[in-house]
Amino acid sequence: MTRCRRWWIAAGLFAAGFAGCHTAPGPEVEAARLASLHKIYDDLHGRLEKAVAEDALAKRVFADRGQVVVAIRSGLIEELAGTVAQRYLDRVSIDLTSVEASDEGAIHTNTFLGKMKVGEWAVDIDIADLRISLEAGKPKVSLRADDRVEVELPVDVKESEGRIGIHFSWNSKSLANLVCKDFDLTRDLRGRVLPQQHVLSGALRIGSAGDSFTLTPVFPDRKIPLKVDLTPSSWAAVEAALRTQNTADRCGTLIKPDNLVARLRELAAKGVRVGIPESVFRVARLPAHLEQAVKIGDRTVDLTVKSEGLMVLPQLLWTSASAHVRELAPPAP
Amino acid sequence: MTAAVLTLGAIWLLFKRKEPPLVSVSETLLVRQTQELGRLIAAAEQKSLFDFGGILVVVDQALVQDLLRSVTPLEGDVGGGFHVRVESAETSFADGLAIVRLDGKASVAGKAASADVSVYGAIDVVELDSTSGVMKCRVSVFGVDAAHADMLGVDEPVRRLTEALTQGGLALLLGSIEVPVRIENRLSIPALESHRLRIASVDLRLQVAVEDVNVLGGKLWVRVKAAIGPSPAAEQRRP
Repeated sequence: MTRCRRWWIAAGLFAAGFAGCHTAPGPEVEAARLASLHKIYDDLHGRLEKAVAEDALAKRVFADRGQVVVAIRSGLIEELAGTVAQRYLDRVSIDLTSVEASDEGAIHTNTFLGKMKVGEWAVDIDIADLRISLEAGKPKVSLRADDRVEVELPVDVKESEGRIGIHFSWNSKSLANLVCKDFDLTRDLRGRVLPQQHVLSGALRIGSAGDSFTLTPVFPDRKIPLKVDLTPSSWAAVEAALRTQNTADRCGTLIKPDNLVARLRELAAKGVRVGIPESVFRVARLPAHLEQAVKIGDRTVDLTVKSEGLMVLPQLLWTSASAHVRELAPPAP
Repeated sequence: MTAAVLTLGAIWLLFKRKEPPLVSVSETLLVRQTQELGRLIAAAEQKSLFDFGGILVVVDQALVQDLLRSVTPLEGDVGGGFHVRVESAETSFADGLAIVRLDGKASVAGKAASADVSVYGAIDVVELDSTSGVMKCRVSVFGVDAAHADMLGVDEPVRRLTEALTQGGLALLLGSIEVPVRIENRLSIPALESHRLRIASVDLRLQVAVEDVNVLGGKLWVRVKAAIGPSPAAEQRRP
């Protein structure tokens, strides 16, 4: 129908309307009025069908076998995933008790026989009582085509203090073994976790678990190098302990306490690799669900809801389900 | 623009009279669909018909029909002295109207006679239950067809039955129709407390509401607006 013709029909309708204000319409007028209405309806219906047929989202809905389609914009998923990750990891406190780290090395010296290994040292650090608190920053989040929301979350570790046990051992080798005794030192010291930031990189895998959509954390590398330090008085205690071995029969001079303390400081600065417990990473459910039963008035109808698929499309999370009436629950007494 | 003029013409044509006649159900339906089509086409021309920002839920008419049929027969008093028994239901979601047709019998209290009736309604409200978040629809009556209604033995039986159903009668009989989709207004992860780990609970409040409903192609298209709400005081960072 041309635009001009539609205008004429509209004008005709108005004219017919005015005429009807003064006289009761006869059957012919009624028939003509209905015929005009049908024409208008047919024209509009055709135009709508054309518009719908050209729309990509509508085409996808009509091609879907599901009786219920739920589509969620990627922007909303990203906002939810990011906010949940941030708020969740913003208030985490982890007890590091029993976290261990170790280092070892060998000391060589020049002798008249050439360069000779005089001994091996080992240090074991055992956190006795230290708790860290995490605060999360603003995450970078992006929905990927493989049903995953990639997350990069900066996490601030707050400064905290506690007890750290250090065990140092010296094992003399070769000729030094003849004159130098092995020794062990164990000290209970005050240590602290330095304020620091790490970035946790991983993903939230989108899935469907029965009637709900889930975000399952996938963080393969859960270890962070936690920078720790001893209090100044504790460093002094370590150094003093090593110097107590600086006697002729214990070969403390070979060990060179200053050098060893410097090595321990390097170890602390490098960080103790601490694994964030797996139980931190828990499944979250998206707020859209499919129901297995609905109410029609006061009657409950049980359904069999079967997922027809879950996929990430450009800018969309798309899921659909077929639902069949299983049985009508008996009315409430 | 032309669509709007045509629609206005159609509305004028129907409602121009001084004395409102008893308009047939099919004509009422035609006028309402024409109105709705005008609105849908205007939205399509502005590319906003299928545009949504948060969540889109599409429900097929066959599912709603199955749900309605599962509760038939359905009977009860609908007011005005009428008693209605619904024996079957049909749905047709097209051209802007989600039509629900309920076929059955109507009778008047104290009288044995009954008449076959078809109640035409349309889903005109789609909302999320404020507590459960379940999506539910309400049906409004826009017309009743009755064969041999004069057998009911009351004056203007169709008009009176229509009034009774419109004024709460259908709600008494049918109530609201839930569809199997729930959109919650919160996302929660419970707290975790163990020897090694302490994690506070997360309770993310969401502002969710049905924003718009379109009906076409045998489906109900429900746009749901969803946004993260402000954090409650307990959600704030620790001091």
